[in-house]
Amino acid sequence: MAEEYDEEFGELGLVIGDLNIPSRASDLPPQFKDLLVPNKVQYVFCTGNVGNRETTDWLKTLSGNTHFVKGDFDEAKDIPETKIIQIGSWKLALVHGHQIVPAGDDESLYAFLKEMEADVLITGYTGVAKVSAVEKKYIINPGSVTGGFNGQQTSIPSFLILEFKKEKIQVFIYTLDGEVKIDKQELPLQK
Amino acid sequence: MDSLFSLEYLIQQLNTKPIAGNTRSSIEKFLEILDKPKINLNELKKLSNLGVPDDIKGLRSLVWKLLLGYLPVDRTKWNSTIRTNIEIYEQFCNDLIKSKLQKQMTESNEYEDQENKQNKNQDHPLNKSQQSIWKSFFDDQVIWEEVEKDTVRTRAELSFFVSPTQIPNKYPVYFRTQCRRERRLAKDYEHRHYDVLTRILFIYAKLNPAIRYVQGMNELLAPLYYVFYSDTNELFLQSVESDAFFCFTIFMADAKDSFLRALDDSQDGIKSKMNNLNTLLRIHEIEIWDNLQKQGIHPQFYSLRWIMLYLTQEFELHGVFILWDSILSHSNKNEYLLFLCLSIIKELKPSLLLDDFTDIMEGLQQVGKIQVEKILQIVSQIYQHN
Repeated sequence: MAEEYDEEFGELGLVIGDLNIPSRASDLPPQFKDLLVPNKVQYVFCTGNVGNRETTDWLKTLSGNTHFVKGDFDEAKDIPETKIIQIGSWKLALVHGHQIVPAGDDESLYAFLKEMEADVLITGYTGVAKVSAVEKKYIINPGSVTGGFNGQQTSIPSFLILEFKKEKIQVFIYTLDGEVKIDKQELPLQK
Repeated sequence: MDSLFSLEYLIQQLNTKPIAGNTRSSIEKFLEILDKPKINLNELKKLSNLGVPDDIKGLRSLVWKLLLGYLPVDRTKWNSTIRTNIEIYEQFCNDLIKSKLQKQMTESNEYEDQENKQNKNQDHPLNKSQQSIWKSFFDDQVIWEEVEKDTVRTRAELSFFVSPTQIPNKYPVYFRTQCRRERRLAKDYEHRHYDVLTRILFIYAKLNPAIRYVQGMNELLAPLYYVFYSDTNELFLQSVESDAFFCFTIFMADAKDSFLRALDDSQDGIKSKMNNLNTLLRIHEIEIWDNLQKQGIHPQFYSLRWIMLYLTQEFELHGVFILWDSILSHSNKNEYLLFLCLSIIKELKPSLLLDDFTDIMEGLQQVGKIQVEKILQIVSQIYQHN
């Protein structure tokens, strides 16, 4: 009975970050703001560089479990650099990514993930949404939800929704390129 | 030739239990009326108006089902009625309590055309479109959560509704509400009475989208469910959930106008009902009416809950049963209810003539101390029905 329950409907997590409001963007694109309403996801994983207090507060309204890690522009003193979260059979590691050199490099990120002994690394910093599989682990990046990340140019706004099941994660990649586009990817659990 | 439904389970209790003299003769009168191939409903109503003895387990359950018109007066049809309704209710549950996957599967079987295939592939958790399976699932979850918030604390003064039930848990629930998450963390996988209430009210909400679920409906379901669960007849124990669902639906036909916001100002709505009570008060007890007016005590301060919830919140459960014996015996339940309220007001007369707003409001809180039998006595003197 409990087994069915876990398998059928997965818990949902929002992966979002690099907002930089108001320094690099005034708000989320309206098409995204429209979709991101409270009580749909059980978790929010924020990769960092949120910006102002109001935006942090808004993120906290989306679910009862929000997890923040420190980006290079986050000033608050009480946010950790990294976080480990267990969701069912999945162990997640959360880090902004500015600490890892070279930036966005899969090999270095994998080394970090292995050190954390986690299955999935959620990271930001690059401003580009990406889902990659390395060895038996996964590295996922929601990009920047406002398109205003800390690089030289703006990027395509994006974020992720993860559906956690026992044996896999279903990833929904939301990008805004004129209109909202949704791509899907399945990540089977490999231990 | 259909067989007559056997009342042996009632008669046997009468023969084996030690029961006081006048209760015994009351029960015998009930059995006399019930032990006929075709039951005289008028006679049954007259008798149950005075209260149904609960020394015999299952008597009240049977009487209520007859008074509500759920069971036909033809005793040969009882078996088939119950069994058919078990099946219908089961069908409702299978159709309406669906997981995302199940919704996807049924939908894909119905519509195989290109457009819908495309829609299905583009569906995602944040989809707001009406065709979205995610949206449909989330909408259901919202209803379930609304219902569950109330059912978990139904009649909190008793341990009954939070206790495990013998009713088999046939329908897995895939909703992720706060309550279910907490139970899962605590490893509580028991099927409890309030889970059954939740399911019944959820099905009702899905089948009646114009009213959905409104807080308080759980209080109207609770007495029906409790009484039916206390039955000792095998067939009725099997059908507790479906019987409760259908009887609740019948009862709601009279009760639902109070819950519909849209009707608040109409002549069927709750405001009008409160005004009608106030008018009755003016006619029958001008002294009280006058003083309440003077002290600024409006009908909605005291009578809203009485009327909307059929007095279920004013007395402990056993008292509610006796009042409902009487209410269910009347064809015009809503009119009779107002006279019951009037009787309560009459009984509270001394405090309602006081000179102070706070004192009067305190007096109105003492309803629960009144003996239910006294209320029935008073109402029998003032209510003349055709």
